[in-house]
Amino acid sequence: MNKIGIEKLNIYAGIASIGVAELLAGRGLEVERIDNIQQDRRSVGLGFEDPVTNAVNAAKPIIDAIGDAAEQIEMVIISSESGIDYSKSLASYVHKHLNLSTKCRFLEVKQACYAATGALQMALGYLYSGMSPGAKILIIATDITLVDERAEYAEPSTGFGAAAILLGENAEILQIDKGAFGIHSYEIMDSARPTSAADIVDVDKSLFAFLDCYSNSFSHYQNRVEGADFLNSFGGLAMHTPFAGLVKAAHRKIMREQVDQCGAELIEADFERRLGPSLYYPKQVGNLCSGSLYLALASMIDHRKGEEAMRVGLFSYGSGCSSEFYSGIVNGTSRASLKEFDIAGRLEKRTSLDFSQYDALLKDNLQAIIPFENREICLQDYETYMPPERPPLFALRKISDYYRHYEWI
Amino acid sequence: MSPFEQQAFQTIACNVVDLIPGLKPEQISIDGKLSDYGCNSIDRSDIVWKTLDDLSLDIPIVEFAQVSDIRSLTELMVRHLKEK
Repeated sequence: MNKIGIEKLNIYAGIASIGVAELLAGRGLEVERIDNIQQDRRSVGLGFEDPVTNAVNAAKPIIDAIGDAAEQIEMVIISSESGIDYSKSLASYVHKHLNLSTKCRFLEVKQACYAATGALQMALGYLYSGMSPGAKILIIATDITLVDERAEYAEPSTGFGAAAILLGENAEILQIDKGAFGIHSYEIMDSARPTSAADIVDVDKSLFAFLDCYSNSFSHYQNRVEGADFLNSFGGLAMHTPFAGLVKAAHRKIMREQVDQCGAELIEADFERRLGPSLYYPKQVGNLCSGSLYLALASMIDHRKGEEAMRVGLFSYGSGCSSEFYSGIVNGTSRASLKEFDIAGRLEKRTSLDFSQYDALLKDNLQAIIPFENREICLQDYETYMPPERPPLFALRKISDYYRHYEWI
Repeated sequence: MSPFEQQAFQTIACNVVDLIPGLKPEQISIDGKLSDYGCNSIDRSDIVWKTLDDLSLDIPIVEFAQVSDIRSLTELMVRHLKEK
């Protein structure tokens, strides 16, 4: 019971990507703004990818790795802002295609980029309750994106993919501090997805709410956790990362609030030391919605110096808005556990798109969650984008009478 | 300008100047927008937070929904300075 937390973590971030400089140049936007966005590449979905395929592609390696222990998964919770049906959950398809036990609950949750962390906290309560010793819970944050030229400078930092998080009593990745959390939530219309083909975002309001929630969530954490100190309690920090520039602004703000006589040099050095490792993958992928924090956590584990046990502070924010700061411990097993999924290697092997290929593919992304009654996907159309080296991929084949049919390719 | 207006506007202007190289306080007009002075979305957040800090104000974020330019930002700050 005392090692409850994240047992396994895997990321699926598509098989294609475009460089941000190329994207901005193709759109006729200012390439110099990269300094502000601090983004290198963004993942791009292909026409046979949807929230279900992303979830299955992220979770299948974990299910394969744990073998018979998959029978112990008693709950699958899918967190998504890319639902495909008002009633039937994404989780029903995911449960089927991961071949999970019938003795398993499944459901879908939604609260923009926060819901995966909300689901994680509810799942921790279930595990700590002792009502089902040995139980495992699979949480998958999965999304697609609806951006195109309308998003302007937000387009390069919008990612594509899913994070699969297996919780249980043998936390190899992150042992979560029991009861150590701070919350800050209130209603605000900063961004929303009112239809299956359009996002609306009020950039200023959203940045403001994010920064406000970071400070207030941490203050609440401090009230609950005796002796918590922003500068000294955490060896590393991982945050929901809409783009690295915002993470930097949030860090600057909270350091000024929390640390006496905090100069620019200290802020910069602290940012590089405690947040730098968490930004490598987000800069290569873009914002993964509620999976974004877990992409940042994976990045921190793979890129931090040394293997010694270290307390990490984690911040999740979802527009609308609900947010949470919590903490846990990564140790020597964390990197070894992540290694088997080779996240860096798979990001590296993504097909690099030029701007015209990218622009042509965007229209497929815009159709990914439209509830078509019938639709056929021609997989051959995407043959040229397949990386030469890739594991089997889970793909949407067709939609018949609103039912989605998938296959491994 | 009332003393409160002057205090709020000057604090905002100083924070813009601190952040954007090459600007002087007298170049900032209350009728302008922060974006007119080269402030991107992160700069705008920074300026607002710094100003709140300088004026020791704590304003609920929803109240910023009506802010569209430096004048409306100043007016919001003034309203809360008066309530202090």
